[in-house]
Amino acid sequence: MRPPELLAFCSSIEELPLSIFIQSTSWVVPVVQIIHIFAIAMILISSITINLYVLQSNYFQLNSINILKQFRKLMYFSLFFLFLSGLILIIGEPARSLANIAFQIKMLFLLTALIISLYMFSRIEKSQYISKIYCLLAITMWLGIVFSGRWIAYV
Amino acid sequence: MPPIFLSFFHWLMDTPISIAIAENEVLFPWIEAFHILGVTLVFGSIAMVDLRLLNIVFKERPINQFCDQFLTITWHAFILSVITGSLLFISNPVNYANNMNFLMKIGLLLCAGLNMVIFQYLFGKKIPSWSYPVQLPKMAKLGATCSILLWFGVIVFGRLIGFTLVPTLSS
Repeated sequence: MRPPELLAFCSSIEELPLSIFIQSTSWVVPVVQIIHIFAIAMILISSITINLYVLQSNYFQLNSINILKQFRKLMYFSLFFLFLSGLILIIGEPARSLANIAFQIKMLFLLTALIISLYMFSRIEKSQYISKIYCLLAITMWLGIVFSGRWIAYV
Repeated sequence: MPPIFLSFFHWLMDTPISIAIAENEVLFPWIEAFHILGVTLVFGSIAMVDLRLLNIVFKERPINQFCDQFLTITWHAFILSVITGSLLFISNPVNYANNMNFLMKIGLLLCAGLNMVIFQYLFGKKIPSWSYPVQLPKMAKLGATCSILLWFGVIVFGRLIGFTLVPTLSS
């Protein structure tokens, strides 16, 4: 999806001083991409732990809700770095990201994963019962985020 | 690089599997995507184990049980990473073998493996007794610190390969 309005918006971002700085400083994109990968790694392991807890009837024997809350905290902490690093990458290369179909699909996966995760977290606190379908969907979305993220470089 | 390696890599580059991965428009990106999935899961699960050994997170969980469960994920993800990594290497062996970031990544990977072997040798028999909060030996904590730093390096140099090598279709 590359409507002219979106391309014009990308061009306006490219002219921002911050974007020019990122484009002209060779180390920024690699460093920020590395931070982005670490954030993804921590989110993936947190999400898989929480979802396996439900799917495999307490795989991790995390019988304490406090432990799940710790994983949730770790996930939020990593999400902050994921968004921050993602934002810097978008500002640095707006057309490569915003106007890229793989990026758009990634954002769709991300939005769905966040909605499911927030819903699941609210259920964990109330009753511990969460549908296994939500867990499978959440894991699928996070895997989709990893795959579509890599495909941004090729589309 | 020794000539025997070079001729082997040239031979490898002419194999049908190498040509298929290098020339197919979707094969390389998909293998790379699975490789990233494997590597991020390896790092994430190992980081959990190391941070637990260092008593930084999940202090109330028994160390032995907590580590065993995460290491199951580590091994599965590691197998995925090795298979996909080998396929990526096969697609362009000469360039990879001459890339300093790739060599650094493999070097750190070997160091991480050696660190794990030493850890198992020193503490393997003691791990089952690490149930509830115990003061771990300093050497165990040093091993955990080395592990997390080495895997950190593996990810850093792994990502830098993409900026210094254009194997197939990457822009």
